[in-house]
Amino acid sequence: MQRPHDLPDFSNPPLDEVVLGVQFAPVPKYSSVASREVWGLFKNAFPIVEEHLLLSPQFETFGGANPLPDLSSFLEQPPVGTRLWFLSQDLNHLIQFQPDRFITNWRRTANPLPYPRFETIADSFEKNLLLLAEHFKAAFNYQVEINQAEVTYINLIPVGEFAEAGRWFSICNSGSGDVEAIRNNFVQVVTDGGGKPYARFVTEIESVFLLPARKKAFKMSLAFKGKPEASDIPSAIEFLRDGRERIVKQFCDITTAEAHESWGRRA
Amino acid sequence: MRNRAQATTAFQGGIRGYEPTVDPISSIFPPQTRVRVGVPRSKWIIDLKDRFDEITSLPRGWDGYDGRPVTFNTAQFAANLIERLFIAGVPTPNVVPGTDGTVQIEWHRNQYDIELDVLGPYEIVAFRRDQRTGDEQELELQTDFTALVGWIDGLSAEQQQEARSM
Amino acid sequence: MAPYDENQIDADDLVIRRINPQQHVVWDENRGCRRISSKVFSPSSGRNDGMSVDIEQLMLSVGVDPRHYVTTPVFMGSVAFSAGAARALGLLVGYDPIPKNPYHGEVWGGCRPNRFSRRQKKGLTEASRWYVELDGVDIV
Repeated sequence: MQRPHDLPDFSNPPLDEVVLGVQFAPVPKYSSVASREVWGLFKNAFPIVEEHLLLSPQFETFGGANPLPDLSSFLEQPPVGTRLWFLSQDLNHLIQFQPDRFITNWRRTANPLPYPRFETIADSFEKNLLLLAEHFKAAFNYQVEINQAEVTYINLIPVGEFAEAGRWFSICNSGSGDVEAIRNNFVQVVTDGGGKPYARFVTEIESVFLLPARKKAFKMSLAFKGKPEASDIPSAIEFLRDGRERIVKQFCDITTAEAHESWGRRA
Repeated sequence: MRNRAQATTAFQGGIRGYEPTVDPISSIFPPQTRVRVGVPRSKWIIDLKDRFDEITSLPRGWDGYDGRPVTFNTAQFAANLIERLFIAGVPTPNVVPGTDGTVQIEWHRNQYDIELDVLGPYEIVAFRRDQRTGDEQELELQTDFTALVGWIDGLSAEQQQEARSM
Repeated sequence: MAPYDENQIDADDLVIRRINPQQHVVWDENRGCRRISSKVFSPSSGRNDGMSVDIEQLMLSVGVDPRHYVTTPVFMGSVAFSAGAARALGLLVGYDPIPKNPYHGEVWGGCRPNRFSRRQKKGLTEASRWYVELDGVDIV
């Protein structure tokens, strides 16, 4: 994958995590016994395993007056199983797997290393997803049918005081008083060329304390999620690529010129 | 309410580099996971909670043949659809399981028959019949349910009153 | 079982479809009654799957009481329609014996075995009569 030449670029963006993921129809007849074979596909690069609770299905739908609520606790008897984390030795790279999800995370926090860039992360994600798809085909005669994809960029911006929000974000002006906390969320519906909605762009800005020293910072999360045009892997990758471009543009639009300078904007 | 993994974004794992300043509405930090208050649910969803629990745990062969329970993903999608279409004043729909893990949501009111056959996530066959005129419409929908909003609105008490006065 | 039409099932032979009173019955405010949902007349969505039924003639031919058979081990209601009525709608009716039910059959869609059109579902509803009636429930 090539980086678009006209996409804004920063030498030192405040990026803390990048997440790429797909959701697909659950693998029929899959049971947790098979998870060892799945791990076997990736264990050379991801030798550490953790178990976590399952993620609920996510669906981007449109129409109607009500926001899509979280219904993950709605059913008393959700499916049995766990979400597995396969971690790289340096803990910076992570694969998350459950029978209807495949996700890759790059995280700076664990072990500060240079950001490997979206293209590298996406290429690796696609390669691993193809490996998984081949395995499902061979082991379960199952063709992966992707019905949701998401790309998320999470930024952490250390600050002295939360009242500095206006220095960093063009959409925040906290006034002249002291600020104890900030939370600012908005959701935009993304439409295709024909005006049909197909994705959502979610922007979240909140004040946080960085651990362990509890230093003040802003967390800015930019997420693009929806149903790719088709259910195959190339369509999902194209969706993620498009999402990444939108995220970078939104990042530039809602942050200030002063912020851009501090992050080393090159283009 | 079950305490399950939830995230402000769909896929973000538990990042342990920071903590929020305000009480999180999302429980993103196991093991100190807080119960999520969530947004208020519609009357339909509240009314149907037990029904959804029932149809997702039906025993194999519940239909006298080889019927399966409604799949979790399909139930979740159907519940999302119901929540999205909710209009106060319209009664809670009937929910009918299929033999193959699918589910149908239906109303028969105001001289309309509306049936939303949820064959899986992003796969709905929607049908409406107007008993007064005999007109029928069938739509295959994936993500955009805007067309259904008007259908459901036609079931409301106000529409019923208007029809009676005509 | 791959979809096919069984020529040993005569047009007048009854095809039985079981009705679960807790799952298949809905309230119809238009008609002021409880009635069977159209979802009952839906095939399974697997590639060659159809709509499960019981073939009355198979039971009668071996001396099994059909009304007893389709109400055990758990009581259910059932409706029946003629094989000819199903075929007139473009549907296929065939045997599909399974270990738990040697009298099991399938009704398949003509063009798409695992999808019935609205016309076909409506036609099956109209062709159906109670075989084991559920009190206070209409077929419509």
